[in-house]
Amino acid sequence: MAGPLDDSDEAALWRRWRTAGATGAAVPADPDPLLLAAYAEDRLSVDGAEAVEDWLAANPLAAQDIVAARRTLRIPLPVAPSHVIDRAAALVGVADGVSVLAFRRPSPSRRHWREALRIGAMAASVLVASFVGFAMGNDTFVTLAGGSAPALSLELLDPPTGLFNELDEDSST
Amino acid sequence: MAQEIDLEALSRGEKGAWDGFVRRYAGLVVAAVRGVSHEGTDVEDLVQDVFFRLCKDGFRLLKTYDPSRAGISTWLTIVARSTARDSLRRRQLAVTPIDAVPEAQLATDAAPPEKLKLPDGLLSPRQKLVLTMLYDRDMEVAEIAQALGVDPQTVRSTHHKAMLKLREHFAAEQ
Repeated sequence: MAGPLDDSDEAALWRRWRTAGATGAAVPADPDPLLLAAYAEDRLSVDGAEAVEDWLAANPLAAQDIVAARRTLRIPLPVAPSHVIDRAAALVGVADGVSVLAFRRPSPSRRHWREALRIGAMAASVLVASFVGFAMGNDTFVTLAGGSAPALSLELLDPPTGLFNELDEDSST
Repeated sequence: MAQEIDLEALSRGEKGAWDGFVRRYAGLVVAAVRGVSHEGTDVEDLVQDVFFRLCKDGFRLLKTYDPSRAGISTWLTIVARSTARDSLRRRQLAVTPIDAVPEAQLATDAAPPEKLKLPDGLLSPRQKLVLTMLYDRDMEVAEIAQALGVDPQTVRSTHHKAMLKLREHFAAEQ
């Protein structure tokens, strides 16, 4: 009796109605968590419960929060690992007898490391490709220029030297 | 349970009260956060996000808790799950390149949206909720019954009445 109701025609009917009538419909404003908790504990009036159900219908993810909240009423409180407790307790510290909120230091997650590695690898690839391209271009240039390679290479790397040589030649003629 | 926690001392920001609160409820927060996290998520970071939200801005959220309206475990479970979901959504938005998302997930009808716009009038809020849970969240009848605090037969009956209304509605349209 408690299995799924898996009638695809009925599901299609529901989706058709949902889609057809959705234009212009407003999503009810979010209730505060205390109201949802009161609903989970059956502490609301009929009207109050109906308003929450109207909101839950539009926020199906939150409906599962109600299931989870009801479940906590039936089970003993679980115990957390000590390092989790220490970390959360450290959010509030004591300075000169007055409680202060500690700054939260973001812990570097694996995802951040992967992202940094990816960007680093991309930068390295660009550098290697640039160097290889430059070396190949330079080799081709030297090959095409024949025996005057050292002078041309020097001029390529230090254009002003070549410029002054030309100026000297012009001034002497 | 709330009686064992000094809420006044907590809202004043007393270190001892905070430590006692964390010791007592960290396990509950871990369990609640695990319920919404998926594989590869750092549950401990999400737990930290929940406690951070509880104490930030001078314990603003914690001060809204009222033991006369609901038990602290119920309230904390709801706060923890919604905070964890928000954190996960923010992280996903920040780091997921579009190329890494399978094309099927980019399609508009691949997954039900988090917030639905539902037409007013025809169905009662409870009928809408039952159909949403059944067909948009693929929840079991027993689970829905648990969420609503009713027996499974009531869920089936609510579903049946809602379907009759929808059939009549579309039959009249044709």
